[in-house]
Parts: sequence; C-alpha cells; structure tokens
Amino acid sequence: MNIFVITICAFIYLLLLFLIAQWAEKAKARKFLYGPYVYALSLAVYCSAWTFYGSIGRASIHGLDFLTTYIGPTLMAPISWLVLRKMIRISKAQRVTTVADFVSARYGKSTALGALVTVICIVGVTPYISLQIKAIGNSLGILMGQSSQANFPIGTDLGNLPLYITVLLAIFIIIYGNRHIDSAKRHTGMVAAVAFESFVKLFAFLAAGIVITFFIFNGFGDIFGQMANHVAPKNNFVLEGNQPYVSWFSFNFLSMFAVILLPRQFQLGVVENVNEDQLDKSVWLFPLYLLVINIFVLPVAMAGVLHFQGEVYDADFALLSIPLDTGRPLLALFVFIGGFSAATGMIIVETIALSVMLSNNLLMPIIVAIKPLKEKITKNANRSIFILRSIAILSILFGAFSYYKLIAQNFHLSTMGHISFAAIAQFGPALILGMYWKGATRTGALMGLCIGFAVWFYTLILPSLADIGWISQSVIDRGPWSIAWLRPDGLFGIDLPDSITHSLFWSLLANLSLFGLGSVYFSPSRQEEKQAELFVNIFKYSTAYESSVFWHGVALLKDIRQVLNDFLGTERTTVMLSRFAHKYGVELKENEMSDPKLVLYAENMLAGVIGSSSAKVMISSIVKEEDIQFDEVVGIIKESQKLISLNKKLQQKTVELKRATDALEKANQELIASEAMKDEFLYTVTHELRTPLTSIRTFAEIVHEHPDLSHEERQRFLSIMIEQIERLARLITQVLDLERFEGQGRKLDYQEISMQQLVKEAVRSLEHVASKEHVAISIAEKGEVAPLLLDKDLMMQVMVNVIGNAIKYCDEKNGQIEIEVQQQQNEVLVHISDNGKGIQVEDRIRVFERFYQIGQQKNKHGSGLGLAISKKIMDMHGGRIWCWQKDGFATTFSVSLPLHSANRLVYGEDFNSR
Amino acid sequence: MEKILIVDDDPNILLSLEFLLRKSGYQVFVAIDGEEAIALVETEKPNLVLLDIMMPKVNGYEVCEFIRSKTEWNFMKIIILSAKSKHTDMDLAYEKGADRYLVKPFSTKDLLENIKDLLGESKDAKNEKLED
Repeated sequence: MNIFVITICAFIYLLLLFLIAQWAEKAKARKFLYGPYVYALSLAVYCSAWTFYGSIGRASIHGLDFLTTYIGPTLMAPISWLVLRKMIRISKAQRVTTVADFVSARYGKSTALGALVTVICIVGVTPYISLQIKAIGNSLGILMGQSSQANFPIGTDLGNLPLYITVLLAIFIIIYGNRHIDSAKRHTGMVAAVAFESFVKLFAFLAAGIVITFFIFNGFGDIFGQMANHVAPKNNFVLEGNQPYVSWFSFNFLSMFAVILLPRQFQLGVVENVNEDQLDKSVWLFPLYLLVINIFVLPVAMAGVLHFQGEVYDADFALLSIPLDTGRPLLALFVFIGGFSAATGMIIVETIALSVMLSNNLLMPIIVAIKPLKEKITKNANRSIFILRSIAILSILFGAFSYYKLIAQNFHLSTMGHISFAAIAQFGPALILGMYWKGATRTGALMGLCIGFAVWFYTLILPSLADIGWISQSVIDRGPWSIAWLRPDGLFGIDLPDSITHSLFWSLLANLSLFGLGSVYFSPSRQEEKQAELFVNIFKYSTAYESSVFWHGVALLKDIRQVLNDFLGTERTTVMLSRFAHKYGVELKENEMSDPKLVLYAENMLAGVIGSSSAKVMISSIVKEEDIQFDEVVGIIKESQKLISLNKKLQQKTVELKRATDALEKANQELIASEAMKDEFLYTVTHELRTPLTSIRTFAEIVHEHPDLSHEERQRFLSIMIEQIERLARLITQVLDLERFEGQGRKLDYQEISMQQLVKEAVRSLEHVASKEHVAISIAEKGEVAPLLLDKDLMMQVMVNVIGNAIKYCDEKNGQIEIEVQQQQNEVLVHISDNGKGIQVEDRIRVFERFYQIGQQKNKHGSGLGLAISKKIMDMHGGRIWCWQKDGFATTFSVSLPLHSANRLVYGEDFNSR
Repeated sequence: MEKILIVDDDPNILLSLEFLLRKSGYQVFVAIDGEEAIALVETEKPNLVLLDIMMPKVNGYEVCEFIRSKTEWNFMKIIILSAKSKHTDMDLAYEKGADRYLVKPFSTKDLLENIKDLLGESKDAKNEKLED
C-alpha cells in the first residue's frame, strides 16, 4: 500500500484526536464526559498494542497464557471497588498525582522513596513505550507490503516515519497533557481522546476478527475444526511449559498488580477520576471490555497458522497480514488505525504520568534543595514548571524511541510487556500494604524497593543485555565469576518454569522480606506516623482531614500567598484562598499569622503542582513549625471529629427547625389564602343573592303602592317574583351543597350502579325540559360498561347538571345532544356533546370556577355554581370532568371515572376522616 | 319631561325600574350593558342615569368616567345601584363622579326621593344660570 495514503490516514487520525481533546476541554457535556462510560473506556488504555497485536502472537506460540493479562484485572475489578476507592480518596485528600507521589506521601513525604519509585517506573516503563513505537513501525512495514515475514528490515524504507509520529505525539502531549501546571487538575481533553481511542481499537479488532472468522473462514467451527486436524495443534489449546500452572498463577498475579500500579492506570483510574460513583459501573464495564476484545484472539491466531501454512510470518501481526494477504487493503488499513490508536493511547497517558513523576519527584526535589536554583525557579514558577515538564516529556519519548531503535527489535511484544509489569510490581508491597498496615515504615519500603528492583534488573534485564551483546553471554549461562547459583535465570539453582516467574518470585520474596523486616526493626518518624494514620484510616478522616491539624505551625498570610502566587499564579491563588476563607468562615488578614489549617491547605495546593515532598520543603521554609507528638495528633483528630459530629447534629437540628418553620409558614399562608377565598366567595354569594332580591323588592313595592295596576300587569309581576324567589332558593341550596362538600363533608353513600343506567335516568328526568326547548337527545352505548361503586344521588346531580347545561346552550332551533357511554382500559367515560355556540378554548377550564360565567354574561338560568359542584363531586369520586370540542359538535363535556374503586375509596375515606 | 337612563344587566331589574319610573312621570331609556349605555348617553343626553356596576363589556365605573370626561355633560346626575356594599366600592364610585350610591336591594321610596332631589338640584343650577 502506498506510504502516502497510510501516512495521511495516520495524520488525519491524530488530527481527530486533537479535535476531540479540544472539544472536550470546552464541551458542555460534562455529565457524559465525567460519567462512568468515558471513565471505563479510558481505563481500557490498559489494552495497548501489546493486546492489539501481541496477544495473537502469544496465542500462536504459547497457547492460552495470553489470557492471564486480562484475567488478572478481571479478578482485581471487584477488589478495586475497595482498593481503588481508597486510593482515590487518599489521592484527593492529599492531592497526590502519581504513583511515586503516592508512595512518597505515605512514608512521610519521603523524597528518596518518590525518586526511587520514579526511577523504577522510568526504567521499567520506557521499554514498554518503545514497544508501542515498535508496534507502530512494524505494522507500518507490513502494511506497506515490505514483508509479511518475520524480522523484516526496519529503518530501510520506513525512513523516519516512526520518528515523525513520535514527535507529533510529543506535541499532542505537551499541549493537552501539560495544560495545567497543577497536575491534580483533570485533563478532560486527554481523557476524552483516550476513551475515543479505546473505542476505535475495540471496533477495529472486532471488525477484523469478524471478517477473518466468518468471511475468510467459515466461522469458529471451521477454524477450530481445521486446527484440530493440523499437524501441531496442541499449542493453541493448552497451557505451555513444564509447570504451566505456576506460570499461569504468576502472570495473573502480575497483571493484577499492573492494572492499578502502572503509571497510566493510576493516572486515569485515580487522578482523572471525577467522583467515586464512577467506580460502580466501571467495575463491570472494564472487565466486559477486556472480555469482548479477546473474543477473536484465539480464532485469529489459529487462522494465521492455517493461512500461512508452511510460510514464515510474524504471528504478532496476523490481524493485519491476513486481510492484506486476502486482498482486503481497506480492512488492513482500519486494523492499522486500531493498532495505532492502541499504541498512541498508551504512549500519551504513560508519558504524561511519567513526566509528572520525573518533574515532581525527581527534578523538583533537587531544584528545591539547591538554593540558587530554587530562587530562580520560584521567580517564574509557572513557566519554569511548564518547561520542566515539557523537557521531561521529550526526554521520555526520546528515550523510548532510542530504545526502539537500538534494542527493541529483538523482543516479542508480549515479552517486553511482562518485563515492564514485573518492574511495576516492585512497589506493590510498599503501596498496597502501606494503605492497610500502619506499621509499614519508610526505611522498610526503601529497603524492599531497592532489593526488589535490583533483583528484577539482575534476572530480567541482564539476560537481555547479553542478548544484544552488551555483556558476555557466559555471565548468563554460567553465572558471574562462574558461580552457578548466581545465574540470572536460575538463582540458587531453583527451577522455575519461565524467566518472568523466576524474576517475580525472587524479586518479590526479597522485596517483601526486607520491607517487613525493615518496617518492624526501624521505627517511623512522627511525620510518617501521621501520614500512616491518615492513609490507613482515610475513610474515617477524609472529611475531617483539613480541619484536623497536623502542624502546630503558623505563617504570615502574605508569605503563604507569595509561595502560592509563584506556583499557582495570582488568579488561582486568590480563588483558592477565598474558597478557603469561605469554607471555614474566616477572614484572611495579610499581616497576621494565619492558622495551621491554612498552612496545611496551602501545602496540599502546592503538592498538586510540585509533588508532596517538594511542597513540604517549600512550605516549611516559611513556617515556624512546632512539631507535635503523635498522641497529640490523634487527640486533635479525635477532637475535631467530635466537633464535626456535634456540628453535624447541630446542623441537623437547624435543618429540622427550618423545616418546621417552613411548614408553619406554609400552613399560615394557606390559611390566609383560604380565608381570602372564603371572603371572596361570601362577597360573591351576597351579590348573587342581592340581584334577584332587588327585582323582587321593586316589583313587590310597585304592586303594593299601585293598587290601580291592571290584572295582567299584576300577574306578570307576581310570576317574575316567584321565578326570582325560586332562583334565590336554588342558589342557597347550591351554596350549601358546595360548603358541605368542602367542609366536614358528607359521606359518600356507595352503591353499585352502571353509568349507562344513570345517564338514562338523568335524561328521563330532563325529558320535559328538552321537549320544551325542542332539543333531541340520543344516547350511544359503545360496548359493555361495568357497573361502578358510586354515590348515586351525587352522580345523578352531575349528570342532570351537565345534560341540563347542554339543553340550555343548545342550538335554539334545532338542538342536538349526543351522549356516549363507553369503557376504556381503566375508566368509564361519558361524553355529552351539544351543537350550541361552543366555548372558547381559554374559557374551557374556567367554566368550572365558581360563579364564572362565559364572557361575564349573566345567564338567566344558572347560579354559576353548577359546574363547580359537579367538579367537586367528580373529585370526591376520584374521577375527572373536563370540556373540549369534539368533531361535529360545538361543546363536549366529558366525565371519567376509574374502573377500580381503589383510589376512589381512598379519596372517600380520606375525605371522611378530615 | 326629564329623561332617565336605566343601565343594568339583569332584565328583571330593568323591567321593574322602567315601569316604576314611567309611572312616576319620567321619560325612560334602558340599556342592558355599558356599551348600550354610552350610546344612549350620547344620543339622548339624559338628565339622570341609574347605573349598575358589575356589567359585561363596559362596567359602571367606566360609564361614569366617560360621562364625566365631557364638561357639557356636567348636568347629568348619576345614581349608582349596586349589590356591592363595601366602602371601598362606594368611594371608588364617588371618585369616578357618581352623585349617589344605593345598595341593592333598595326601597323604591328611597330611589324616587333621591331622583327627585338630584333633578331638583340640577333645575336649581340651570335656573341660577339663567338668572345670571
């Protein structure tokens, strides 16, 4: 394939990463970016090119043991819910930003330990980074069609492409990984890009796996079947070696450590963690990812063996070479991009983590210790740290690239990965036991780490140096000075199945022994004891931490401000200090001694930028510390905890009180509102009573004063008076009804009755009115309607009212009313439609208000209370009444009653008990 | 013959007052709402208006304001007939330019006395003007 096309694709892909990172830094989708899915995907940076290509190579040669790399983390996942949570909690409390800083902080912010862990990481992990560069280089070579065979020549036609890619990655990392000098701040853009990469590599792997398994071959059965008939099939189905279960165990053990201790896993799992809730989902999402990406490893490995029968090929790159060999260049290109993303993802995160370590735990302590350098760096701290980090990034990448050029060609991908893992495992005891065992001390940790690292170097690195001819092979074969039991691959003549297991066994044995002995033998310093207490009991202290005092030290606020200004910048310092002042409700005065809490706060802020141990040195230079006894510390912690719990109780009481006051206030307001409503109601009622009274009185007085009235006139006036008196009587009844329903209430007198029957009765009682007004009423029954438990009299009142209204407001010449009764799912519905003038949309709700009359038009017939009463009755039955417009009619009033009496009964009981 | 305009949205009240005032020898016009009232004020220029307050479209206060907005109608007397019995309602009515305020249900005797009273005043006012 054309090198130009591949290069363009790779560059476009990198550009895409830039864009995603850029977007995420500014995006509003915080909920998604900080959610469990992006977090779990970012953790999948664990699957580097080693997974993407190397697993297949390993499966082709060594059988099933590639699985250990994934079984370990899967076993670790449920435990990580506890262990990782603790690491996160501690790191947030102490603003720890790297593994090295974590170990350093645990053992009294020890500079030596931080530096040692940094060295181990850099020595152990740099080859792992170069492995990724190698994977990119080799996959490029295969894609360009140089060779599908083993050990194709590197550096010939590839030219400087791997170098260019490395440089481009360096630029990306400096822009997005070195964005904030405060490394405790999250790199949202970087995390988003890495999560995207995890998605791409999974997708590419699955796509190629599916094509190879189902299109090039005929499914899993076909591959496994052919393999079973193959001459040497056994390798792929079994665990290889003479003591396979020992290897199996040690590899699993190794990857269990790696998944939480690798700098990149610590970076994404701990530092970039937004809240501990992310763990809940990632605990199963991450193992799921590992499972899915491994589904096609074995089939593709076997497919490679079958496809290249007899030929020599690089089993590591079967995923790439099979599609190429069967004329699928586009798929191969996609696989290349997948592998490229696996490699770049790893390089990006690992380099960031290592560079922070290098600058904070190795370079910064040195700078802080040398006075002229310290003064120089504090003068323009922000910029200096940025430059320092950038140099660290460049040197790490340069180191990895050199390693790739010089040494890496001789190793299989997965071997180099395991060597890395074994190095990382060395600080497992100091870190993990340090979180649970208060007795662990700095000296013990130092001793353990030193010896573990030395044994690792001796047993794993020395032989590889011999391989490339830097030292004599005889040292490896016969031992130094020909002492056989010192042979790097067979210490003390004990036979272990493979070099990794051998190295792991001896290095961890030595490490643990010295760590334990050293811890027991040497007593810790007070600073160490404080930190140990804090680490081990973090869940007890995590809220109390800042408010408990570990320093009896005080400092001038202006000094503290000065130091913070230097490293955080003026703006951030101001923000952080005012946040502190706000949190503890204190007023900060420039020339006064600030309290120890602020000193501790400042130190933590600083630790995020220059690491814990350097921060301690910086702060102690401005603080007069009166060191305090450990007992005192515990006393203070206990006291502050007591205070906190008291404070909590007080807060709780305050909240309760506030709630009670609010409830009272609300009740009072409701009372006032209901009083006002009652007044308003009474006022309206008196108005409604006075109007008919006025005409009655006037007519009565006319009749009384004018005996000369004609008989017709007298009769007419008297009949108006009778009509008006009836109106008055009706009004009084309805007002009383409404009052009764609202107040202590009437008990609903339930009986079983069908709505169909009720509607018929209501229509019958209105028949004479309807015929007088020339209105035709039709009842449409749609299907069966179940009987309901109802208060018959009240429901009758509703029906008579609504149908009566329909008659009144019908078309005057050709009145038509249609009543529909039907049962629907959980309710019985009655629709009463007329062909009158209709009701405006805005009036359709207000018609149910008391005394509301449409368009304020006085109606001759009604009191304005009928619908309000109907609504009340429906409420009491748990039903509804509303008004709308149905096709072909002007106004439709609908009534709905729940089929199941449950809510109705509840309402009724509630109603009665009020 | 003095012209009286009765404004009320209750047809029974209109009917009874119309009969009563005709019997008492006045020329009577009736309006069922504020709009009709304003039209009749303009065309008939009644000497006195009996005015309800709560009416659809244009209410009594607005009719009051309208009449008082023209100085040439100063002679028109206004009696409010309302079911509203609060002091605030009355004060508002006087503010808008009403001359008397009777709470429903009023006695016909009271009403007729008030009418006579007011029309007498306006006659006096006219006479005074003539004498000048």
